[in-house]
Amino acid sequence: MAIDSTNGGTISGTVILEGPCPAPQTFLCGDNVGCDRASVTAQHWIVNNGKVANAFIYIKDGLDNKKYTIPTSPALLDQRHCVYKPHVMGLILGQPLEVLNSDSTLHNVHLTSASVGESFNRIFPQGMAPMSSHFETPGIKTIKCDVHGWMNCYIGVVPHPFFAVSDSTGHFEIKGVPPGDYTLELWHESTTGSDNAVVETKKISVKAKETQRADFSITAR
Amino acid sequence: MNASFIMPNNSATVGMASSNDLRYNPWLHRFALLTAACCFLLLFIGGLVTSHQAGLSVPDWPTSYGWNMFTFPMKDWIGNIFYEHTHRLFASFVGLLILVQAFLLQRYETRSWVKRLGWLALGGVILQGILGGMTVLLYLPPAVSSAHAGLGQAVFCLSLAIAMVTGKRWEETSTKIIEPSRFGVRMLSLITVIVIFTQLIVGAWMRHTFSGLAIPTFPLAPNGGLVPDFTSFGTVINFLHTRVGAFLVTLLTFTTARIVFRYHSKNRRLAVATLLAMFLLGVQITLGAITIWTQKAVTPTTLHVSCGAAILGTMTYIMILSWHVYAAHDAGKVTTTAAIAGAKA
Repeated sequence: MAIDSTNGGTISGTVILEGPCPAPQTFLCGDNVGCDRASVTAQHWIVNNGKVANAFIYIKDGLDNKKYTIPTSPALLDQRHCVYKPHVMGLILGQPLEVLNSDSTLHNVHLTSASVGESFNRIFPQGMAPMSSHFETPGIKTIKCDVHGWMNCYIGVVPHPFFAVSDSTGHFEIKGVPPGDYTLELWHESTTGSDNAVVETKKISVKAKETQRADFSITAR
Repeated sequence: MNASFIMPNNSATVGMASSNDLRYNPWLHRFALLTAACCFLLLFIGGLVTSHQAGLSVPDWPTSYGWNMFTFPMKDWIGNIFYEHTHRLFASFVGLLILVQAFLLQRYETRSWVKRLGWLALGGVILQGILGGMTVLLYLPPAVSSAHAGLGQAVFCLSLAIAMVTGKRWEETSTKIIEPSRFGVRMLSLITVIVIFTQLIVGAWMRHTFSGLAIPTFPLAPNGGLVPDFTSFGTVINFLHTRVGAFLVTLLTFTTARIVFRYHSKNRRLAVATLLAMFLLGVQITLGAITIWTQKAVTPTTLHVSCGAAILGTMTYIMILSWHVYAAHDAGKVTTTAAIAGAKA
């Protein structure tokens, strides 16, 4: 089943931070000359004027196990200047993931998944061809580089295309949603990563060709 | 009948057969000391790996990013790779030392039981290497990582024992002194070593399950009391290590010290080792507190691991020395009766 971009509804919203924003952590790159930078600021909480970026929002319930077309083109994850680009992303279960190394240094690609058999840890030297992978189970996956301790990213794997990541203004939009009643879920990392992540849910009704507003207010931890 | 009586601290002695077959080899002893010292240093280096969360920075084993471990280019020892790779290299060096030690003991040591210690240490370090590789390839399961940590401590203690028994002073100690009480320094130090080793295993489990800050305050729990709210398994493990285990180790160390200074204060080696154990215990508690207060900063955390090893090593020394120098309190009655019977005959 493909997304109904003609008759589907849209879920749109903003992720707002209530309360103080944790101070950013800065890491020195030290001898990591391949990073082409002197320091890195951790991307746990990126908040601009109270608007939260990098929140992963998706439809958790209400789609009744419908099967959707799985893209054959891979979702791209790049290692550039010793950070992952993007820091948070989503992909459809079954869609391939392609990891690139644009740095002149080596990394390892370490996937942590609640599904133990899915976890892996692979070397990724500079100049190596892109690495392909795919996920067997839905959920939030963590990818990190153990060489560069600050490097990590999160991938929301869901069995449908109705997900989004909030941008630098905290805004997100999910299009082509079939009319119906849903549970929308937000996931955002904590200052310690995926442990103790912020998770909020919201009930929402979507009507055909209409935009339904769904704002989230979250507290940092 | 040999009936020599020495009364240090009012205790009687038990005569032993002279050890004519012991032959002190100073270079063998020095090599054993070097090996034990390198084992201790390796524990520190290994601690750095975990403190920096570098355990998976080299995903392959026994190769390193596809290279032979010994030819992996230094220019690629970047970031956390530096800690993991140097750990592997130094571990290989320690393995080589223990291998050479085993052969040296086989060649130059006259006591068969000491030779067996050398081979036991070799078996231990080989198993340790396998555990280290397994834990990397299995993505650091807590059980394997904790076993790797624990076996490392055990091999260190074994190396220390070999250094002790190959020493000149070991050869000189041929007459045992009867302990003045039933529950003396021998049993107490043995129990203390077991408890310290258990504490180290629990500490390793705590580290490898990321429970080190499950109770983020010290000495009181976040609820203001001594006992925290047990909201997770991590809280339980943390409580067992930072409160229960720390208390038990402190209690046993001080009790051992009390026995040593009450009955054996004239044994200079024992007294100095006991003072060292007490000093290290104070340092260890301080480092543990600082580890929590700094939210597991690398330096105090790693020093805390090493200090734990030092305490275990010191208490192992006390235990081995006690069992070598002293006889059980009951042994005095048998020997005295025999001595009297022998004197009458």
